Amino acid sequence: MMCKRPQPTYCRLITDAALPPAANMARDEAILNQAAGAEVTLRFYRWRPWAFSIGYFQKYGDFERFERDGIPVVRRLSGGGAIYHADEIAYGLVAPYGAGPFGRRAGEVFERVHSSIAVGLGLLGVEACLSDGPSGASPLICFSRPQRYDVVVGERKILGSAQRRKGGFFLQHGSLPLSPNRFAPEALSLGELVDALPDDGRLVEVFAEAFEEAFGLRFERACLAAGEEAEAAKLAAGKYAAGTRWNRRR
Amino acid sequence: MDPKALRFADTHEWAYAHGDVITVGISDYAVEELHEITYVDLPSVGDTAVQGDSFGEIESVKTVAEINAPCDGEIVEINEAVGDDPEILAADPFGDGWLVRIKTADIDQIDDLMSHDQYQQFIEQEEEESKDEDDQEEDEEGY
Repeated sequence: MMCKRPQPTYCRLITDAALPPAANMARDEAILNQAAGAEVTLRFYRWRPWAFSIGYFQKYGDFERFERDGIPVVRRLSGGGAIYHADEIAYGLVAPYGAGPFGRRAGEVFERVHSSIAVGLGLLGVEACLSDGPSGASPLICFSRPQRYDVVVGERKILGSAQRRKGGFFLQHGSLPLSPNRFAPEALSLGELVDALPDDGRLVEVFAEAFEEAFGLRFERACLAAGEEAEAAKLAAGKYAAGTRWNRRR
Repeated sequence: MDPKALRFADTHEWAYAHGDVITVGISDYAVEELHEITYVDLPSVGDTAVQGDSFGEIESVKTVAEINAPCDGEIVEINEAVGDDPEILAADPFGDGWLVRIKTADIDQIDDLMSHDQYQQFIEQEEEESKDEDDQEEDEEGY
């Protein structure tokens, strides 16, 4: 018997400008906190200034020296290892887990979302697949070695993600380096694999199309709602601001 | 601890009442679902717990999940061994892997939770819903 698929009611595609670390983390948290029903939000963004984001359980002390050297450090809600966000395109995906197209277990969600990203890379002429490497504790620097479900080209990592779960929804953060990253020379970047790097608009178009195809969704271009903007502004000025207790905890 | 003597939240925490002190953990189903727990963060003794609100976090497979309080009250004991060695939680979620003890002023809140049988039905339903989704995807792939 065919069962009715619980379709997401509203799927938003948000393309933000390059934003400071606090603003990026605040916007993703506001979207997660206000997620309701079966809503799906996919947000693409860049980081300016370039910065480290560290996993929720990582020790600030391991990264303090970078902040002393002028590189901002912000703590994510999501787990995993640290990322130096430089020339890259990042995404934040907020969606319900369980009876929906993304799956229930974290591994399922990583596998399904990353498979769609690998398809997107294929549309750009890059043959990527998912790593069958080890899971378990993340390395200090996320891109220093592939873990299970990371997107790899050959043996080298090109995209990794991490999640936070709250109230039936997940927030998945991920990053695709566009040029070599000084803190993760082991990883690959898209720019090393294509003749001409597509602009951000084309990248968003390709990955959004791959998401739509993989999950049976149709995105509408949108912005954050007023309530999300208000909460994000508060979080950016408070919780995620440079040097706060949140960023320096642990 | 006999799982049949426990009460369960729909967010997969279990609770066991001994007088007005509630021992709290997460179910074997949650442990299996999380897979390879790497970090457990628990509150401090003296912290306030609010029913349904997060009092701690667990990381597994680069995913941080919240642990919710099954009742209001004050945290009176935490299982530091689990924080030091999350494998204890994975090995014995209903015993040595307990997480916190909460002194509650409203023991009736435990009645809001599911019995073991009700919880088993709940997780079967969750699994069924996920399976329906997968089956439908396979059906659609066949077209």
